[in-house]
Amino acid sequence: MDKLEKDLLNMVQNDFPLSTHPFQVISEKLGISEEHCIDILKKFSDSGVLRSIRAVINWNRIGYFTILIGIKVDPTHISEIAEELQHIDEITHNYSRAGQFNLWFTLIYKSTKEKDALIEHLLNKQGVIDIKEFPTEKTYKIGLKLDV
Amino acid sequence: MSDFDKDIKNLSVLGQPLRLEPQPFHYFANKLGISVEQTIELIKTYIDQGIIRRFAGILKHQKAGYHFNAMVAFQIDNNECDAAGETLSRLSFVTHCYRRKTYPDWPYNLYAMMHARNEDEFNQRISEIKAAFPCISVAVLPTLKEFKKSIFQLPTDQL
Repeated sequence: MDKLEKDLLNMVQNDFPLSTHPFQVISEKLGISEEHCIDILKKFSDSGVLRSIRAVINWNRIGYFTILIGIKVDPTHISEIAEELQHIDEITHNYSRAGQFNLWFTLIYKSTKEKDALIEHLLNKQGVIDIKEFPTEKTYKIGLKLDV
Repeated sequence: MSDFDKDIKNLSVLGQPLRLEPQPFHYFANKLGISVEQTIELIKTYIDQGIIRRFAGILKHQKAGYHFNAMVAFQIDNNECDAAGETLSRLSFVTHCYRRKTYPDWPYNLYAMMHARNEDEFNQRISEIKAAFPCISVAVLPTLKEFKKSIFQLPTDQL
């Protein structure tokens, strides 16, 4: 990645212009053509570096709840549990981690009943030892930005 | 349609990825049946209201060179949690930081997601985090495998 590409990625991460021709605004700042700017972003989009340029919605403000859930699961069963979670649209993140709670996922839900049913279902799965809910009590940072 | 339903409908469109084309907001405008200028104003209004946190490019951190990631959980006195959370939030390599519910057998109340490009940087940043403020205990939970990372999309078919 050269300096221009890094500057471009940092710019779209930090200060994306809400204008009718946003890529033109960015390209003028970088001293390149709009076409070149879009081509670079397409390249990074194709390679997966740039997931997307988009609105990040605060779900809590429109009637949804979000929660972090930790599962303590027998390591021999971790893949099958993860595989099942894979197909639930409301689960947006799912990672295995070192430690006693070894599978962590985030869930977006509308009703407590819905969330409780999922937890109940998972508790009955073979290999699942414990599940704990970690609701957010206070948000200090949701950054999503990383210097490149 | 109530204001709330209208917001949900708008956000099911505005929450979609921006197209990489010269006038990318046209797509949203067409879907919403309003002008591009109105579309941009609508996004700005939602940002002002805190309904849209931000409008920006999101990178896949591993692909951007960040291969060493961890959730770090701290057990810290509740009175000191806010100051510690703010200290962590100032670190550029910490992307998320929250206070969360605790349990007798899981006493950690402060969580930070941190990212590094290599093992040396990871270890150095973990040391930096651990030295940033005094706490009762700290658990470093490195990411072993990413099974899923997606963005929730409001269903458009219900509208």
